[in-house]
Amino acid sequence: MATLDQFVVNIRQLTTDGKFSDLAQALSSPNVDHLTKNIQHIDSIIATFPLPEYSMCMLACLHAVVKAPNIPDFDLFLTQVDTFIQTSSAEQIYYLPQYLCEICHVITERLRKENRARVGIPILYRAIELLRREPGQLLSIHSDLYQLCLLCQWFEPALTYLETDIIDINRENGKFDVKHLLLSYYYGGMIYACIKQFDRAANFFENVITAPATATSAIAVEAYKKYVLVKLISGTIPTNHLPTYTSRNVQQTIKSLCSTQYTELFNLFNNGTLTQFDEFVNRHRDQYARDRNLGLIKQTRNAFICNSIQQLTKTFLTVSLKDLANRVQLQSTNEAEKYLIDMIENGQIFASINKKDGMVIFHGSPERFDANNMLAKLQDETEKRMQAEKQLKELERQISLSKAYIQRTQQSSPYHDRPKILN
Amino acid sequence: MAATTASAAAATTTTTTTGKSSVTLSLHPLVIMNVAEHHTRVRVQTAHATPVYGALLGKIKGRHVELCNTFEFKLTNASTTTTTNSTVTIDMDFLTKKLELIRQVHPDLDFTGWYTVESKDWNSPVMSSFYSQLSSLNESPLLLRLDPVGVSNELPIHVYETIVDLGTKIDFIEISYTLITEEAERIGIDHVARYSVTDGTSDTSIVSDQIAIQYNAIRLLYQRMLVLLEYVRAVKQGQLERNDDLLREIGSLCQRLPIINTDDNNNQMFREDFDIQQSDVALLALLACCTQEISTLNDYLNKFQVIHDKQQHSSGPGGSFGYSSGGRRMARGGAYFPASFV
Repeated sequence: MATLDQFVVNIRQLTTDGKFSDLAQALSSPNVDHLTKNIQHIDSIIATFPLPEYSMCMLACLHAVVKAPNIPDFDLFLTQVDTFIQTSSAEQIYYLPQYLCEICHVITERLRKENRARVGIPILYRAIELLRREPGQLLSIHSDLYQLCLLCQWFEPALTYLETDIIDINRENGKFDVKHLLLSYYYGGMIYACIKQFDRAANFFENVITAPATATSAIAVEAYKKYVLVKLISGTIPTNHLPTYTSRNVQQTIKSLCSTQYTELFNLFNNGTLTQFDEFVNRHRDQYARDRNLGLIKQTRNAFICNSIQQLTKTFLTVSLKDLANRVQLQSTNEAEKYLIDMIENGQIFASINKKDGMVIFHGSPERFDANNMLAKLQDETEKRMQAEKQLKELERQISLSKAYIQRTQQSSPYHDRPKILN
Repeated sequence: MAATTASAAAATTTTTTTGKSSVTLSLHPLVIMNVAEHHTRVRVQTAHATPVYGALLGKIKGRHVELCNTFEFKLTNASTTTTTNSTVTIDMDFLTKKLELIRQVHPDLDFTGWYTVESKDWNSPVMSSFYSQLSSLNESPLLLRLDPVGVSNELPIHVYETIVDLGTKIDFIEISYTLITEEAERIGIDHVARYSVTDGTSDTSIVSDQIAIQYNAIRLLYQRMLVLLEYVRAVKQGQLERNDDLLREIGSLCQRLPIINTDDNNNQMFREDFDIQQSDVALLALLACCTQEISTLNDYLNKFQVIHDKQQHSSGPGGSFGYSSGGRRMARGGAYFPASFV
């Protein structure tokens, strides 16, 4: 008890002196064992730390509570954490981000088990607001937030964070794991697939797959399966099944695990018929059910039909509805007409249907790219490119000044005074 | 030549006289142009005419001095008033350094004196203080004075020799000079003279004359067009009788005009072509931006690979990046590129 008192006095002193880096040192292990061992007194200790001046000490205490084998009153703890996040001072927290993240992980885990995901979302949302230094920074809390949002199907909080592109990762004093990065992109992709923005979902899944890796993660495999389906639904079918820059071992794992069920789909799309597709899906239905991708599979079927119709536009100028239904292997002309009207409305196809003789006439694209909105769009895109280029230049500057790089380039040439040709 | 006396202040320690001088002086036009430019620049930038000072450089050969070039003084606590109580000190460090640099480039140029731009009532105590500061560099520096307000048929340049009388009194004695030019100077002066000289009748130079001509022409065109417009309006309202020939001519004149802002049928075609061209140009700009971005990305990735190349699998082509003995590096590694997270 004496050491505990001493410890508390010590950290109080450091806080009032404002020596935050020393305080962070004192509060990280092994010193923090004082708190974990005396967990029963923790409530009284917490009461002595008013916020926001003693944010760091409070954070350390909450973290000790979280690390304990069981938390006595979880709801009370949740309210404590909530008030803490709302009233603490951000600059103190920046010294100990990993504590806050671990608290959030434990909360998420607990809420997931109890099926009470909705409760945790505001807390995590505010925690991210507090902790991130700039809009483009990724924290491990992001993956927790996305997970909870998926569990309770409430996507808005997640979307505000998904919209901004990530340009930086908060190291969290070494505790940021690659798992969090992969998970945040994986869940983000799933969220986008739920709200039917399939392009961006495919982009996110691709990020998971192509993350540089020396060992394949299960997350990447799952992401690949969804990537295939989402890519097919979004309508753009790439020539390669995988981007060429995925790591070698990820490629091999995927080939061995998923090729029969998923990669085959690509081939089917290009050269198969609807009956073949249905047959194929039925054969592997169990696998899809196990991966919980059945919903996506159904949407893929729709995309398959749209794709077949689009392929018809490449061969025919006009076609009768009956012929269309036969070629695409639809049940009836009415169904074909329904699909056509949907596609015309979505802008996937340009055609007109002549009801009198049941003919469909395919047109070329009427877009001539000369309207004012096209100009505005082009200017917008140019702006974005310039922004991105500025960021890239900054990254490049950082890397060329980094120690590792300078060491490597010095090592490479035996003639130190020869000018190097670096492009 | 008549002797002139100094300014109205009663107790002065300088007098200006003309008479026999101990040196003969040649003056390059470059000196005059530099001094004039310095004065004009200061006047335009600071919006009131402060006296400017600078150093004269020249070649001294026995008793003949040839003034070739100038540069400006750097003044410390320069005051903008011209009262006789002002003290202006020259930054001697800067001066000596500058002279050294000039000596390296032109070994034959020496510090021969200083210049000022002032009218006839000049500030003698300042000049005396200058003299005392500069006498360490040259025992008898020359003073060149450019008169910005005087009007005369000759050049408003006066050069004075300094003579120390009885140890404290400084005399400025005006001396005569001749102009000598080099080829380069001649071309420059010719150009300036041609385009900026004012002839006796008007106050403007030739450049402004040319602009005035164009302005008058446009004004005349506008007036004529107003007349035509009046005529057509009157015909429309029935006040004047209709002359078909005239109307036909006006019609053909209109059709020769550019079609940008008219509201008739020509506008549609023009608008379409214009839009297409506009979006083409914007598209090209976008392409340029993308290329630039890709090039930066390529540089970044190359550097990234340099750092991380030991994670490269040995089954990749070449195994490593093949650092050859010349220090050259292959830009392309194996089948593995790190993805960007943007």
